[in-house]
Amino acid sequence: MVPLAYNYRNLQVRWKTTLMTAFGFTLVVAALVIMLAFLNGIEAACIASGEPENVILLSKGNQDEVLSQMERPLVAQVENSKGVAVDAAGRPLASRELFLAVHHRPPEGDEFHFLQVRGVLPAAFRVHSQLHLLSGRTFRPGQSEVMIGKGVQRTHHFQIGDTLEIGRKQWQIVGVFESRGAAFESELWCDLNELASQFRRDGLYSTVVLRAETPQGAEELAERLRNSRSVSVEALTEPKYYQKQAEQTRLLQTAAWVIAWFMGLGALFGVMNTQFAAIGQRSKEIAVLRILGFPARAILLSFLIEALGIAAVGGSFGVALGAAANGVTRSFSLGARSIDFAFRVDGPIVVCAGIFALLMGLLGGLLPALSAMRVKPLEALR
Amino acid sequence: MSAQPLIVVDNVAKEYMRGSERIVVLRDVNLEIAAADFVALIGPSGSGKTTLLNLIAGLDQPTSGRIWFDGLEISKLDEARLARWRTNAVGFVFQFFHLIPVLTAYENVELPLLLLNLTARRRREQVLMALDLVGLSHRLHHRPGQLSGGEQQRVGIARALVTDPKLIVADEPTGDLDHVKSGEILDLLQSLQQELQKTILLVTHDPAAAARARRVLRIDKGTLVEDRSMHSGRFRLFEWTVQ
Amino acid sequence: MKVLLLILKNLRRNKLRTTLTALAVIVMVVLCTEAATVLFWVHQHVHTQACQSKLLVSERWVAPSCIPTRYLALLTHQEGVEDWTLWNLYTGYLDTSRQSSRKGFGLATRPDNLIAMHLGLEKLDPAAVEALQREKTGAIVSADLMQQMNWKVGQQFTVLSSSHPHKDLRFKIVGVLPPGEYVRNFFFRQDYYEEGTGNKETITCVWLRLRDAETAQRVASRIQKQFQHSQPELKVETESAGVARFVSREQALLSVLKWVVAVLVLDMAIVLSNSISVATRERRVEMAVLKVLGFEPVVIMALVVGEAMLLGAVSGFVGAALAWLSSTLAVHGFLPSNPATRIFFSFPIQAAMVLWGALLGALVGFMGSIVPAWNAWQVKVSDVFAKIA
Repeated sequence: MVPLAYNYRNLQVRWKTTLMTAFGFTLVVAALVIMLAFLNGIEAACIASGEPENVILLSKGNQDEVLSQMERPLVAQVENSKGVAVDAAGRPLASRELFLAVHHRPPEGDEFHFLQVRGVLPAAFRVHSQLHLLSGRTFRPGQSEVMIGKGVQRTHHFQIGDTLEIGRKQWQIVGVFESRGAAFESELWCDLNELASQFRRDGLYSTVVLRAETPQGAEELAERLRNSRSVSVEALTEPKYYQKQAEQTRLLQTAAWVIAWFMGLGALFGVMNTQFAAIGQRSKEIAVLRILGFPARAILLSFLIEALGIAAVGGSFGVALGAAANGVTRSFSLGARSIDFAFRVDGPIVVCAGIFALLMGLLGGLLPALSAMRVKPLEALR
Repeated sequence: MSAQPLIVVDNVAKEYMRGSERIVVLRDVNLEIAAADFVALIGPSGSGKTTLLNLIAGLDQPTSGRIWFDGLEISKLDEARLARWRTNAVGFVFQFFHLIPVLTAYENVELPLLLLNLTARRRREQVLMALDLVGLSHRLHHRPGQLSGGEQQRVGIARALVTDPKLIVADEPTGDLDHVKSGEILDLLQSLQQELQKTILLVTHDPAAAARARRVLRIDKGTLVEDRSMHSGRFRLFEWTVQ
Repeated sequence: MKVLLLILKNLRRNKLRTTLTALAVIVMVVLCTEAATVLFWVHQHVHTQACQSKLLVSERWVAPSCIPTRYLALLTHQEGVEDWTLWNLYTGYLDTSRQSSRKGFGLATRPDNLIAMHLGLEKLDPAAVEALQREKTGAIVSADLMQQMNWKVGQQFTVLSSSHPHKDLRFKIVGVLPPGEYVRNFFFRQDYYEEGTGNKETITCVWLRLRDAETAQRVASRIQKQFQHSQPELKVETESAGVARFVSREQALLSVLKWVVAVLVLDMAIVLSNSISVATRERRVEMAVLKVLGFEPVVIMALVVGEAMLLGAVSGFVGAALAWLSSTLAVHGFLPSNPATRIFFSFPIQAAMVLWGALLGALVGFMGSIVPAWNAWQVKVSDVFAKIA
């Protein structure tokens, strides 16, 4: 095998070209990492949103809370389904919820923003067990008070004590909560009845979330309700529901990879160019190596390693650069709702990006290396 | 001198096709070279001397005829086996040195040893020995660019020597050097033949270089036209200048 | 002219290098063209005049909006309103699989001024509108849906409604929407909507067209004030403000897209720069000779910059042309429908983008040639010949 020092020093000697070519890889790999981290973050937020013991019910034909409408008799009926856990007082663990996307216009400025408001009853805090108050307190029933998710606080810069105009009333912010990065963090929670009367939705609910004793029980409960002849509802366990929401990013996933491959192809041609030029300059050296007895495949390997070296260096910097996006928070619209998420760079993404870079290096290096292998020693030295 | 010749060239011809035109470079070459001999191949440009050198060194295959090296018919070997054989049996010295510019003197000399199954320690010993032989022990870690032309050619010779081959071929080894440096290189080659019993095959234009040989072969238009042994090891310069 | 000839000759010297560089730029420009189309779309919709003189009236607080039909007369008789239309959203699944990828979004509207009131329908065949006026159950369907569902004009389809439970409607396709603005949509008649769903009381939103942006602002605030104490209250915004709000929800996506474009441009410049650098390094001696012959350094720089810009421009042109071609083929159904080609239904590439691609390529070529041109400028006659000797 041709010593690695040979490749290393050659890369060093033409360091400007090496760095430039590697930088091309850096950019492409960084872009890939950021795109994947973006999608990964959304998926993570969706997965975090589901508790496996919970079953979410929507009106028949709807897959999204925004459009779902259920009436009181139906809700009362499903709450007493077999398999729903009960609290100490013997009441079923069921959370009736009214989810509204309302337009909000800050006092200064005339642009509308969406606010996602969820009206809930006290049972909600037992059903959504991951929800924790960060500061302030929970809203009081019958009062125009809201608590806001961490994400809302971040994007709209609301503070405890601020008032918001929603509908005809001024609502006071009394608390901030978090929920393991879940979709709820992008919402404002308030008293269900207060919200319903405000928007004349009395007796109407978007959803009912039922809590079962176990994840297994939740699966069965959902299955039973879906197949029930007496009630007509959509029933999904929470993880399945949010997973379905995350599926909307499938198209973006494809787009990300299409973009990455196109960019990679560009970088690949770049590395090909560099390597062809290198081989052109070093054809005499190759000839000497062959005359000394190095077999053609050693030459092939040597030049492949050189291309891989460029890809590896560029790729590592790319991963590092892309990883800088880790934890950056943004909001993203999923269907009719928007969720806050954090870019998430994790092991699989790093591995993926690494393999991608090496593959591009390999493909880009192969053709030039093959041509290096075919250098005719006697002709090259003439 | 052993009875068995090291190299036997039997009725060798070499032709090339250039477009539809057939060019005969060598024809009917018959030759034996004894081990530990110092042979100079001379002749005008395009006479085919380098081609003959390449054939004997296993860099090229004859169109017809056969070549034996130490009892092995090398004109029958395929390319891969030829390459392996070359590493062990032949050392090459080039006109333009052809050292790898990014590698140090030491690493350049070590290069052919990487093809053999040697321990690192053994490699080191051999490299140091070869560089010592050419008098460059003090410049191990210099790159070719930091060495003079004469020094570069010594590194080239050390690289040819390091695998301990029976034959060292040198194609115009002094062609790119001045008079003084040429003399030093030729002294070195001569000492390799005399002290280490290496067989030297030298292609040259330079009468002074040819004068160091014990046997001079002259090629013209693809055939051997003269074969002269110089028992004294000295060649009479004026004979050549006359011709 | 002579310089150009020399540049062309130089490009032909190492065909492999020129080809590889061109390929790299072409591939990246293809991507850039589509990304830029998306970004241009956003920019255009937020900033054009047409969008600023059109008002969207919807319910003040809650989405999806729901306006009583009785408001309609009050809205359309506002002073300054030149034309108006309305929408009623009717969504549902297009087949029994009920997958979200098979969802369609119907818009019930007025057929008579369909083209005039909707952005992006300029290219809609007037015959389709006439057919819609004749056929009560008619629908004009987006090219995207037509291709995905493999529908033909004249065919009928049923929507399994999710927005109006148990009110599944059957439509007859009378025309196809041009690709671009409306992707998963189909237009149908408001009277059929009222009849089929039984909903005569509410509408989703109302569009008003005003003379100019200024009038639009005035009318907007007048309406807002007028309905301030009604239940439900109304929200009025210009079309561009609506788009801006929509876009701001996709801000994360758009910023990623902008990054992608930046990376592509930089990457192209790098590839070009590398390639031109190698070429100039090979030609140092020639450049020195040219200097000896009396060529000014500016001419030598021009050779380098010109080579990079020409290569960039031609590659950019080819790349953008390829993108435009794939977009056009996809939109006309010559390419199989897959997630990658579907993007062209939302953001079809305009023919003018081909020129834009050439310009981008030239710009990138210029960026990439700065360093090599500087090196060429620096070539000293004495240095080069000293090295050769």
